[in-house]
Amino acid sequence: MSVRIEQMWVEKYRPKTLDELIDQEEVVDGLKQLLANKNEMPHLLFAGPPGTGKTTTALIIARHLYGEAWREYTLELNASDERGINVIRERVKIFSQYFTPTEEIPFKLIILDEADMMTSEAQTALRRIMEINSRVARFILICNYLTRIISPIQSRCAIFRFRGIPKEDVIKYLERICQNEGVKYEEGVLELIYDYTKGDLRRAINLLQSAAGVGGGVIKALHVEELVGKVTPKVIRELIEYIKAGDFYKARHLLFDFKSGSGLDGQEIIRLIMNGLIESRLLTPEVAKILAEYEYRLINGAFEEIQLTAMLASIMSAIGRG
Amino acid sequence: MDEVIGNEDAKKKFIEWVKRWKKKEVEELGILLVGPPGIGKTSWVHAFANTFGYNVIETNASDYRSQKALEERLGHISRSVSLDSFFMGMHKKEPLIFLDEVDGLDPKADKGAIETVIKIAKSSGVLTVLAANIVDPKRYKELLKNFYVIEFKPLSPRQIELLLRKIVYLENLDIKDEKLREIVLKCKGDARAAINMLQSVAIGISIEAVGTTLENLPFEVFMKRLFEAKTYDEVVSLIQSNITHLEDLIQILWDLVSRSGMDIKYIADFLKELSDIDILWSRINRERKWGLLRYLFNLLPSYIYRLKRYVTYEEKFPEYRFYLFVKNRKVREQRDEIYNLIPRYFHVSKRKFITEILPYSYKLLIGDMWRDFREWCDRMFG
Amino acid sequence: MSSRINVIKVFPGRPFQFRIRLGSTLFKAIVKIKGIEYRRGEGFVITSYDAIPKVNALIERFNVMLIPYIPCVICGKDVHCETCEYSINCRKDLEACICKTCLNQSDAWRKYSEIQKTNLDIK
Repeated sequence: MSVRIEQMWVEKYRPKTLDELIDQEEVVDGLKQLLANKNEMPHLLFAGPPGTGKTTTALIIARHLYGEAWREYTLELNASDERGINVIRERVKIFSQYFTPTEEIPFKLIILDEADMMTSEAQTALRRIMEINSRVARFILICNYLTRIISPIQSRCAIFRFRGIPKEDVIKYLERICQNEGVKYEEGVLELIYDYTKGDLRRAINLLQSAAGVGGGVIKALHVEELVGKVTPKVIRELIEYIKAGDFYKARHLLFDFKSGSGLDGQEIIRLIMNGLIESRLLTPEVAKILAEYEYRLINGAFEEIQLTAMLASIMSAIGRG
Repeated sequence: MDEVIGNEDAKKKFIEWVKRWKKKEVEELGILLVGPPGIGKTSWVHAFANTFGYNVIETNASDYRSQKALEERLGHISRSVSLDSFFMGMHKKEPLIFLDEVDGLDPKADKGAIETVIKIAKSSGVLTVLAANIVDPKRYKELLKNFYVIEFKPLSPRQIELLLRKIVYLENLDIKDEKLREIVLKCKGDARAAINMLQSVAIGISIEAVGTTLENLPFEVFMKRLFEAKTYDEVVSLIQSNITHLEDLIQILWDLVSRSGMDIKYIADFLKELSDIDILWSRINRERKWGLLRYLFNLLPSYIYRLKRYVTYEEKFPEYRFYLFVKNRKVREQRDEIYNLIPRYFHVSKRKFITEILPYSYKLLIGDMWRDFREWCDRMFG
Repeated sequence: MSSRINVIKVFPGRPFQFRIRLGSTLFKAIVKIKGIEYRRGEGFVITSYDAIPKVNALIERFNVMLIPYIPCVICGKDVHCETCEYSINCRKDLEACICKTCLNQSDAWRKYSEIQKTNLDIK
């Protein structure tokens, strides 16, 4: 397998114990108490902005509970990847059947990320799934917005709120990585990286690594800025260029090349396009309305391709008139 | 009654039996008419009733499968015949129970229904007539035992021609004799089909379109006909008779509009309308609300009829399929392999992977094993 | 030298005789064909005209031929099926038909109506 993951700094420097966790002292304290008695561990709900250590903490807990063989007893699910609550139910069922709790291993662990992407109906079903499997499994739910999680689930979980990592901690962490990796940087570069990523440590580390790749030996501010300008993937920027130029044929082609290769669904693509339009300052209220309308239609329609092309044409028609 | 053409002998037998039944000189409980569809069983029963002063209470046996429902529907007739007639405001008209499509009942599953039918015929003292297309003697032993079977045969082609001539005369249609003969040749002994074809010809649908019926055409033929149709009604008929093709039709329309090269405003309009159609279609399929089809039967023909002015239909391998199934197939296969590894190593969703990790690190991560996917990444993120 | 062919007019549902000596083999072969039956005391009956060409093939060497006719429901004359313009399409298991003359009359269906009224005994 030639995916050189270990070379990804995000993975290489991911904390493996609670003590290594960056910031989040309250979370760490609370968790240490809960983990003191394995058997009494409840379902957990981690909420907070992205890149602040929620997934890392969940993995740490897995390691703490099961040691090096933690992968055997842990199921990682992503609400946005699993198509529907039934898929989730099936996977949980397969994962937890035939498991007998022991003193050593009292339950299996299920980490469900992006739980706030689920509809409230799906969450209601999820609550039931959690109930049914609570003898043999514990859930760690991860979300960005706590308010999007229905209260029956909240009441069944111990809730831990993660906050954005403060500037000093981000910079300290980046410094440590640079030292380990032998990367030099100009003064102020790390602060710049923080400015662009604000409390999202994962983004910061990715940005650092990419900048290091671009800069060669020494990271300069312009390397960072070059990369940041490209928050939107090239494909989306190119798509928007075609939209501006009124080239429907090319826009449609590119859209389908991207969609069929990436496997992303229509909603995700609309969001990417919206971000791209914001960046190019093309998001007028009229265009925003078109996006919103077609996102709604997408949910209700059968063929995403039809809805997406109709949206493209609408946007092009609206912009053209301007 | 004299005007319903065909099966003269069978009709005679029918009348004679009823006469004997009135005098209680028969053993059977009622009459069972057997014959293929469209040959006049139902029209005959109504014609007979009209002439001889009966009031037909018609029921389709398959509509009232359950014994209870059947009894509810017809039971009351036997209990208070005169009351019923009174309420129906048709004094002095005796009821005639007509149960059509009894071969729609399953002798095992609907056993109760069949027994009820026999019971009603026995106890009600009301003239009971059943109708069926085919009666397998093994399956419907009970019915055959208790009912007098009269076979209705298909009309001869000339009899059908006679029938059509009559309609032509009465409705004052301007249709030549040769056309009538063509219809007779194509209707395959089904008088009802012949009448329908006559109607279609009368409103201008070409005989070729009518002759082979519009139902269940092969897809390419269906598309060709849609775009070559000369009247709006023909488009409507085509769509109504080929529901199985609607899904592909919507895709083809989408492709046609997208590739048409029309002004972007037109494209936007046509696509928006197609988006509406798509949503409706999705509801129909998802919620199985077949009743909503009638809106589609309105929207689609109108759409096609207008679109025809701007595009022509050519049988080409639709473009969108090219991307979806051919061009990026290897890309997709490799991508799926990679996606399987994400949770294990990256702990993020696919979306985050594509938008946040892949663009910056695909060169690092994606080795030669996934060359096609890497080339795709070059196109997208390079 | 061609000998005269004996024609036997066959009407649906009406029993007829072959007027030749069949012998048991031939008899069995004929009865096996779908669309022709033998009724004791009555004779042979054609229930489907599709049987006719098959029977004819069997009795050809006797110079006998069955030819389907049907009574015209309006005038009662014999209608010769083989000269009918629909003979290819016809299902041939009918009881009655209409002759060409009657069909081509402008008020054919009215005549039909009249006949039916008498036939079915309605006032």
